[in-house]
Amino acid sequence: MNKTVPVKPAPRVAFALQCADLLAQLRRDTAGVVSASIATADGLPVASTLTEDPEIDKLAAISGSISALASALSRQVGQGDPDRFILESASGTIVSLKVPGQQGGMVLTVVTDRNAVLGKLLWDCRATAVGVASSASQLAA
Amino acid sequence: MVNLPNALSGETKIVFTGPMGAGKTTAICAVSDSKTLSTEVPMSDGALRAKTTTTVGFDYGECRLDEAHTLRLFGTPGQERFRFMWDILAQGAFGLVVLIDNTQPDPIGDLQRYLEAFAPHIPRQRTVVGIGRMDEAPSPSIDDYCQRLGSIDPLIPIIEVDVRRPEDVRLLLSVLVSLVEVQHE
Repeated sequence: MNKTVPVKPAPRVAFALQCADLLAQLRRDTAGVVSASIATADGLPVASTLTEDPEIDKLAAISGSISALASALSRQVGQGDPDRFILESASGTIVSLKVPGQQGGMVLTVVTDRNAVLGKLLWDCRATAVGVASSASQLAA
Repeated sequence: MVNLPNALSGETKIVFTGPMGAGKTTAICAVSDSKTLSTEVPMSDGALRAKTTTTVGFDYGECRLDEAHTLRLFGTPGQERFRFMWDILAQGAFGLVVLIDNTQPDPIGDLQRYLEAFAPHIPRQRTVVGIGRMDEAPSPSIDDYCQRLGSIDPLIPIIEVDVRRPEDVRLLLSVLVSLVEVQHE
Protein backbone atom coordinates (compact mmCIF):
# COMPACT_ATOMS: atom_id res chain seq x y z
CA MET A 1 0.00 0.00 0.00
CA ASN A 2 1.24 3.41 -0.89
CA LYS A 3 1.56 6.23 1.59
CA THR A 4 1.32 9.85 0.58
CA VAL A 5 2.21 12.55 3.00
CA PRO A 6 -0.53 15.15 3.39
CA VAL A 7 0.76 18.45 2.11
CA LYS A 8 -1.16 21.69 1.73
CA PRO A 9 -2.25 23.34 -0.47
CA ALA A 10 -4.24 21.17 -2.86
CA PRO A 11 -1.79 21.27 -5.84
CA ARG A 12 0.88 19.85 -3.58
CA VAL A 13 -1.43 17.04 -2.56
CA ALA A 14 -2.03 16.29 -6.21
CA PHE A 15 1.72 16.28 -6.77
CA ALA A 16 2.27 13.93 -3.84
CA LEU A 17 -0.33 11.58 -5.28
CA GLN A 18 1.40 11.65 -8.67
CA CYS A 19 4.69 10.87 -6.96
CA ALA A 20 3.07 8.02 -5.06
CA ASP A 21 1.83 6.53 -8.35
CA LEU A 22 5.30 6.77 -9.89
CA LEU A 23 6.89 5.16 -6.84
CA ALA A 24 4.31 2.37 -6.84
CA GLN A 25 5.04 1.72 -10.51
CA LEU A 26 8.77 1.59 -9.82
CA ARG A 27 8.27 -0.86 -7.01
CA ARG A 28 5.89 -3.01 -9.05
CA ASP A 29 7.91 -3.13 -12.27
CA THR A 30 11.49 -3.35 -11.01
CA ALA A 31 12.84 -6.52 -9.46
CA GLY A 32 14.14 -6.26 -5.94
CA VAL A 33 12.74 -2.84 -5.01
CA VAL A 34 11.77 -2.89 -1.34
CA SER A 35 10.83 0.75 -0.96
CA ALA A 36 10.98 4.03 -2.83
CA SER A 37 10.65 7.49 -1.34
CA ILE A 38 10.72 11.11 -2.45
CA ALA A 39 11.89 13.85 -0.09
CA THR A 40 12.64 17.52 -0.47
CA ALA A 41 16.30 18.53 -0.54
CA ASP A 42 15.95 19.77 3.03
CA GLY A 43 14.66 16.43 4.26
CA LEU A 44 10.90 16.69 4.32
CA PRO A 45 8.84 13.73 3.06
CA VAL A 46 6.83 14.08 -0.15
CA ALA A 47 5.74 10.51 -0.92
CA SER A 48 6.83 6.98 -0.08
CA THR A 49 5.88 3.36 -0.57
CA LEU A 50 6.58 2.92 3.13
CA THR A 51 3.59 3.08 5.45
CA GLU A 52 4.96 4.02 8.87
CA ASP A 53 5.16 7.78 9.42
CA PRO A 54 8.18 7.78 11.75
CA GLU A 55 10.12 5.65 9.29
CA ILE A 56 9.11 7.89 6.37
CA ASP A 57 10.10 11.05 8.25
CA LYS A 58 13.46 9.67 9.33
CA LEU A 59 14.31 8.30 5.90
CA ALA A 60 13.43 11.67 4.35
CA ALA A 61 15.72 13.56 6.73
CA ILE A 62 18.62 11.13 6.23
CA SER A 63 18.09 11.23 2.46
CA GLY A 64 18.36 15.01 2.49
CA SER A 65 21.51 14.90 4.60
CA ILE A 66 23.32 12.21 2.67
CA SER A 67 22.45 13.79 -0.66
CA ALA A 68 23.93 17.08 0.52
CA LEU A 69 27.00 15.30 1.90
CA ALA A 70 27.48 13.41 -1.37
CA SER A 71 27.30 16.72 -3.23
CA ALA A 72 29.81 18.26 -0.84
CA LEU A 73 32.20 15.34 -1.36
CA SER A 74 31.82 15.45 -5.12
CA ARG A 75 32.36 19.21 -5.27
CA GLN A 76 35.31 18.94 -2.91
CA VAL A 77 37.14 16.65 -5.33
CA GLY A 78 36.26 18.80 -8.31
CA GLN A 79 33.57 16.63 -9.85
CA GLY A 80 30.63 19.00 -9.39
CA ASP A 81 27.20 17.91 -8.26
CA PRO A 82 26.58 14.16 -8.56
CA ASP A 83 23.48 12.89 -10.37
CA ARG A 84 23.21 9.87 -8.14
CA PHE A 85 25.05 7.70 -5.67
CA ILE A 86 24.85 4.00 -4.89
CA LEU A 87 25.35 2.22 -1.58
CA GLU A 88 25.89 -1.53 -1.84
CA SER A 89 25.83 -3.99 1.02
CA ALA A 90 25.42 -7.72 1.48
CA SER A 91 21.68 -7.21 1.92
CA GLY A 92 21.02 -5.10 -1.13
CA THR A 93 21.44 -1.72 -2.71
CA ILE A 94 20.36 1.85 -2.01
CA VAL A 95 20.20 4.29 -4.89
CA SER A 96 19.76 8.02 -4.38
CA LEU A 97 19.04 10.32 -7.30
CA LYS A 98 18.61 14.03 -7.46
CA VAL A 99 15.34 15.22 -8.93
CA PRO A 100 15.83 18.69 -10.38
CA GLY A 101 13.27 21.35 -9.50
CA GLN A 102 12.53 24.47 -7.57
CA GLN A 103 13.85 25.13 -4.05
CA GLY A 104 16.76 22.75 -4.40
CA GLY A 105 14.79 19.97 -6.03
CA MET A 106 14.11 16.63 -4.42
CA VAL A 107 15.78 13.33 -3.66
CA LEU A 108 14.57 9.92 -4.84
CA THR A 109 15.75 7.12 -2.56
CA VAL A 110 15.23 3.51 -3.61
CA VAL A 111 16.03 0.54 -1.39
CA THR A 112 16.40 -2.94 -2.90
CA ASP A 113 17.17 -6.46 -1.83
CA ARG A 114 19.71 -8.70 -3.54
CA ASN A 115 17.34 -9.51 -6.40
CA ALA A 116 17.83 -6.13 -8.03
CA VAL A 117 19.83 -5.92 -11.25
CA LEU A 118 21.79 -2.70 -11.03
CA GLY A 119 21.55 -1.61 -14.65
CA LYS A 120 17.81 -2.14 -14.83
CA LEU A 121 17.40 -0.53 -11.42
CA LEU A 122 19.29 2.61 -12.42
CA TRP A 123 17.39 2.87 -15.69
CA ASP A 124 14.03 2.62 -13.96
CA CYS A 125 15.07 5.00 -11.18
CA ARG A 126 16.08 7.55 -13.78
CA ALA A 127 12.71 7.21 -15.51
CA THR A 128 10.95 7.73 -12.18
CA ALA A 129 13.03 10.79 -11.38
CA VAL A 130 12.23 12.26 -14.80
CA GLY A 131 8.56 11.61 -14.17
CA VAL A 132 8.67 13.30 -10.78
CA ALA A 133 10.52 16.29 -12.23
CA SER A 134 7.96 16.55 -15.02
CA SER A 135 5.09 16.52 -12.52
CA ALA A 136 6.85 19.15 -10.41
CA SER A 137 7.36 21.45 -13.39
CA GLN A 138 3.68 21.12 -14.31
CA LEU A 139 2.79 22.06 -10.76
CA ALA A 140 5.05 25.09 -10.91
CA ALA A 141 3.66 26.24 -14.29
CA MET B 1 44.23 33.66 20.97
CA VAL B 2 45.21 31.97 24.22
CA ASN B 3 48.23 30.18 25.55
CA LEU B 4 47.77 26.50 25.09
CA PRO B 5 49.74 24.12 27.21
CA ASN B 6 49.21 20.44 26.79
CA ALA B 7 45.50 20.68 27.45
CA LEU B 8 44.66 20.31 23.76
CA SER B 9 45.95 17.85 21.26
CA GLY B 10 47.17 19.08 17.89
CA GLU B 11 43.74 18.95 16.27
CA THR B 12 40.69 19.43 18.42
CA LYS B 13 37.10 18.92 17.35
CA ILE B 14 34.60 21.58 18.41
CA VAL B 15 30.88 21.26 17.65
CA PHE B 16 28.64 24.27 17.04
CA THR B 17 24.98 23.59 17.61
CA GLY B 18 21.72 25.43 18.29
CA PRO B 19 18.37 26.04 16.63
CA MET B 20 17.91 26.85 12.97
CA GLY B 21 18.81 30.47 12.28
CA ALA B 22 21.02 30.89 15.35
CA GLY B 23 24.09 31.49 13.17
CA LYS B 24 26.12 28.28 13.27
CA THR B 25 27.14 28.42 9.61
CA THR B 26 27.88 32.15 9.88
CA ALA B 27 29.98 31.66 13.00
CA ILE B 28 32.13 28.94 11.45
CA CYS B 29 32.64 31.01 8.30
CA ALA B 30 33.58 34.01 10.45
CA VAL B 31 36.58 32.35 12.11
CA SER B 32 37.70 29.75 9.60
CA ASP B 33 41.11 30.25 8.08
CA SER B 34 40.20 28.70 4.76
CA LYS B 35 37.12 28.03 2.70
CA THR B 36 34.47 26.22 4.70
CA LEU B 37 32.53 23.15 3.67
CA SER B 38 28.79 23.67 3.69
CA THR B 39 25.75 21.47 3.10
CA GLU B 40 23.13 24.18 2.93
CA VAL B 41 20.08 23.67 0.73
CA PRO B 42 17.07 25.89 0.01
CA MET B 43 14.30 25.70 2.58
CA SER B 44 11.23 24.08 1.06
CA ASP B 45 8.75 25.31 3.63
CA GLY B 46 9.48 29.01 3.39
CA ALA B 47 12.13 31.43 4.55
CA LEU B 48 12.88 32.30 8.17
CA ARG B 49 13.35 36.08 8.18
CA ALA B 50 16.06 36.66 5.57
CA LYS B 51 17.24 33.07 5.86
CA THR B 52 16.41 31.03 2.76
CA THR B 53 18.76 28.06 3.17
CA THR B 54 19.34 25.52 5.91
CA THR B 55 22.13 23.09 6.79
CA VAL B 56 21.14 19.46 6.32
CA GLY B 57 24.50 17.69 6.73
CA PHE B 58 27.14 19.69 8.53
CA ASP B 59 29.39 22.70 8.21
CA TYR B 60 33.12 22.36 8.52
CA GLY B 61 35.89 24.85 9.00
CA GLU B 62 39.29 25.10 10.62
CA CYS B 63 40.61 27.73 13.00
CA ARG B 64 44.33 27.71 13.68
CA LEU B 65 45.19 28.78 17.20
CA ASP B 66 48.97 28.67 16.91
CA GLU B 67 51.71 26.69 15.19
CA ALA B 68 50.80 23.52 17.02
CA HIS B 69 47.04 23.72 17.55
CA THR B 70 44.12 23.77 15.15
CA LEU B 71 40.44 23.70 16.03
CA ARG B 72 38.30 21.65 13.68
CA LEU B 73 34.87 23.26 13.71
CA PHE B 74 31.76 21.20 12.93
CA GLY B 75 28.33 22.83 12.69
CA THR B 76 25.23 20.68 13.14
CA PRO B 77 21.90 21.06 11.38
CA GLY B 78 19.57 22.97 13.67
CA GLN B 79 16.32 21.26 12.91
CA GLU B 80 15.15 18.41 15.12
CA ARG B 81 14.57 16.03 12.22
CA PHE B 82 18.32 15.95 11.65
CA ARG B 83 19.00 14.87 15.20
CA PHE B 84 20.72 11.73 13.96
CA MET B 85 23.46 14.04 12.65
CA TRP B 86 23.93 15.52 16.12
CA ASP B 87 24.91 12.12 17.51
CA ILE B 88 27.26 11.45 14.61
CA LEU B 89 28.96 14.85 14.80
CA ALA B 90 29.29 14.77 18.60
CA GLN B 91 31.40 11.62 18.51
CA GLY B 92 34.95 12.45 19.53
CA ALA B 93 34.15 16.11 20.09
CA PHE B 94 36.21 17.92 22.66
CA GLY B 95 33.98 20.94 23.25
CA LEU B 96 30.55 22.33 22.47
CA VAL B 97 29.41 25.82 21.45
CA VAL B 98 25.64 26.35 21.71
CA LEU B 99 24.30 29.35 19.79
CA ILE B 100 20.87 30.71 20.68
CA ASP B 101 18.65 33.20 18.84
CA ASN B 102 17.13 35.46 21.50
CA THR B 103 14.30 36.56 19.20
CA GLN B 104 12.76 33.08 19.26
CA PRO B 105 9.69 32.45 21.45
CA ASP B 106 11.46 30.31 24.07
CA PRO B 107 15.23 30.76 23.76
CA ILE B 108 15.99 29.44 27.25
CA GLY B 109 13.95 26.33 26.48
CA ASP B 110 15.90 26.00 23.22
CA LEU B 111 19.16 26.15 25.17
CA GLN B 112 18.02 23.52 27.64
CA ARG B 113 17.03 21.18 24.81
CA TYR B 114 20.42 21.41 23.11
CA LEU B 115 22.34 21.05 26.35
CA GLU B 116 20.38 17.91 27.17
CA ALA B 117 20.81 16.50 23.66
CA PHE B 118 24.60 16.81 23.76
CA ALA B 119 25.16 16.01 27.43
CA PRO B 120 25.70 12.28 26.76
CA HIS B 121 28.49 13.09 24.29
CA ILE B 122 30.28 16.24 25.47
CA PRO B 123 30.90 17.18 29.13
CA ARG B 124 29.14 20.34 30.30
CA GLN B 125 32.49 21.55 31.63
CA ARG B 126 33.51 21.95 27.99
CA THR B 127 30.46 23.89 26.86
CA VAL B 128 29.98 27.59 26.16
CA VAL B 129 26.80 29.40 25.15
CA GLY B 130 26.49 32.37 22.80
CA ILE B 131 23.26 34.38 22.85
CA GLY B 132 22.59 36.26 19.62
CA ARG B 133 20.25 39.05 18.52
CA MET B 134 19.99 40.52 22.01
CA ASP B 135 19.90 43.95 20.39
CA GLU B 136 16.58 42.96 18.80
CA ALA B 137 15.29 41.07 21.83
CA PRO B 138 16.93 42.12 25.13
CA SER B 139 14.78 39.70 27.11
CA PRO B 140 15.57 37.19 28.44
CA SER B 141 18.74 38.74 29.76
CA ILE B 142 22.00 36.95 30.44
CA ASP B 143 21.01 36.97 34.14
CA ASP B 144 17.74 35.27 33.23
CA TYR B 145 19.65 32.53 31.44
CA CYS B 146 22.02 32.09 34.38
CA GLN B 147 19.17 31.84 36.86
CA ARG B 148 17.25 29.30 34.81
CA LEU B 149 20.33 27.23 34.03
CA GLY B 150 21.67 27.34 37.56
CA SER B 151 20.04 24.05 38.36
CA ILE B 152 21.65 22.36 35.36
CA ASP B 153 25.15 23.74 35.57
CA PRO B 154 25.86 27.18 37.02
CA LEU B 155 29.37 27.13 35.58
CA ILE B 156 28.49 27.12 31.87
CA PRO B 157 29.64 30.48 30.45
CA ILE B 158 26.86 32.43 28.73
CA ILE B 159 27.98 35.30 26.50
CA GLU B 160 26.19 37.80 24.28
CA VAL B 161 27.53 37.50 20.73
CA ASP B 162 27.06 38.70 17.20
CA VAL B 163 28.28 35.72 15.20
CA ARG B 164 28.89 37.89 12.16
CA ARG B 165 31.80 39.40 14.10
CA PRO B 166 34.85 37.10 14.04
CA GLU B 167 36.08 38.54 17.34
CA ASP B 168 32.85 37.47 19.05
CA VAL B 169 33.17 33.91 17.79
CA ARG B 170 36.85 33.84 18.74
CA LEU B 171 35.81 34.95 22.22
CA LEU B 172 33.55 31.92 22.53
CA LEU B 173 36.38 29.65 21.42
CA SER B 174 38.82 31.36 23.76
CA VAL B 175 36.51 30.83 26.70
CA LEU B 176 36.04 27.22 25.73
CA VAL B 177 39.78 26.63 25.52
CA SER B 178 40.27 28.48 28.81
CA LEU B 179 37.81 26.13 30.48
CA VAL B 180 40.00 23.25 29.40
CA GLU B 181 43.11 24.95 30.70
CA VAL B 182 41.48 25.54 34.09
CA GLN B 183 40.45 21.89 34.27
CA HIS B 184 44.04 20.85 33.65
CA GLU B 185 45.51 23.08 36.32
